Amino acid sequence: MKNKLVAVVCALLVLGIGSYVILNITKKKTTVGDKEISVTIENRLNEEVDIIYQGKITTDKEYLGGALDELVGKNAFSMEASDSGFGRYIISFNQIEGSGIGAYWMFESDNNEVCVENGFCSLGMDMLPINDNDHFIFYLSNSNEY
Amino acid sequence: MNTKMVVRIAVLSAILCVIQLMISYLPNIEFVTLLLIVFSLHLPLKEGIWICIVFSTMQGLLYGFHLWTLMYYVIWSFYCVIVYVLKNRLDNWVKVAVLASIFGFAFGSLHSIPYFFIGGVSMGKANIIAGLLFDLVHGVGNFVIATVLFDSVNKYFNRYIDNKRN
Repeated sequence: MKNKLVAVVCALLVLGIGSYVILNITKKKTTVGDKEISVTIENRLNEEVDIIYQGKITTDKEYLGGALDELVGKNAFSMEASDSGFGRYIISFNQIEGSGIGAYWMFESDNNEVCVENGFCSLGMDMLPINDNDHFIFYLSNSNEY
Repeated sequence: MNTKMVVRIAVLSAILCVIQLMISYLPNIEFVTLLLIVFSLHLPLKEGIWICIVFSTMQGLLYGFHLWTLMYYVIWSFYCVIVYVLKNRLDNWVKVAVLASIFGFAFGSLHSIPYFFIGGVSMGKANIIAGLLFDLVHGVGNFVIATVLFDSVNKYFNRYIDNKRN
């Protein structure tokens, strides 16, 4: 019993130290100060793409999630997101949810540093640093491509 | 495959699914690895693989069939085979806990293999790096769960499943 307790404590220590190291190694540099980003929100579930929102915002937020919150604050659109433990997960834009199994809100960018470097936006919106002139497209899709 | 085997596969897959759903709000904390290890220690390989297939199919039906759900078929079955191969050596909780934690640490990397083919090395690497923290949580979580629960779950299987298998 004592051995098990020691093993569990050691494992939790590894978790603590490991998390600290990983977070420091993988943390992306952010840009401080004002930056202008453009955001497009599309519903790609239908054959014809339905553009829900298209616009720009000047923001001093360092992460994409913060910029989206600002847009919501300006009534550009409504957004519902839940904290999944993996960061915020978008449930709906303008009350449009994934209809049925397998439809999700996702996002991509053709010029954001992290998204271009990795070939896809590998970080959640609250962890993805934004830079001036970044363009993001949020889209509702059944995601069969991945 | 006889009736008993089919029922056992159905019941054990259902147990896996229910337990997975019960704690799905905790990211990367799961009992599936430990239970699959115990199942594989006590059941024939064929049954273990069938449980993985039924469980992965249930995951697909619940969450949609995407690459990550399809990889479940491969990874869980692979884990079953590894346990089956190491069966005689997994004779105490320390070895099981270490194996369960390796399974947890490796899960994200194994999951990323298809991305190397889809988007090249950079996409595969990015996927692994983005998941490092979650793999750490998965590995440590598996270790703790196996440390605390392996002996009792294993004892239960010794008593009930082994006695009633045939």
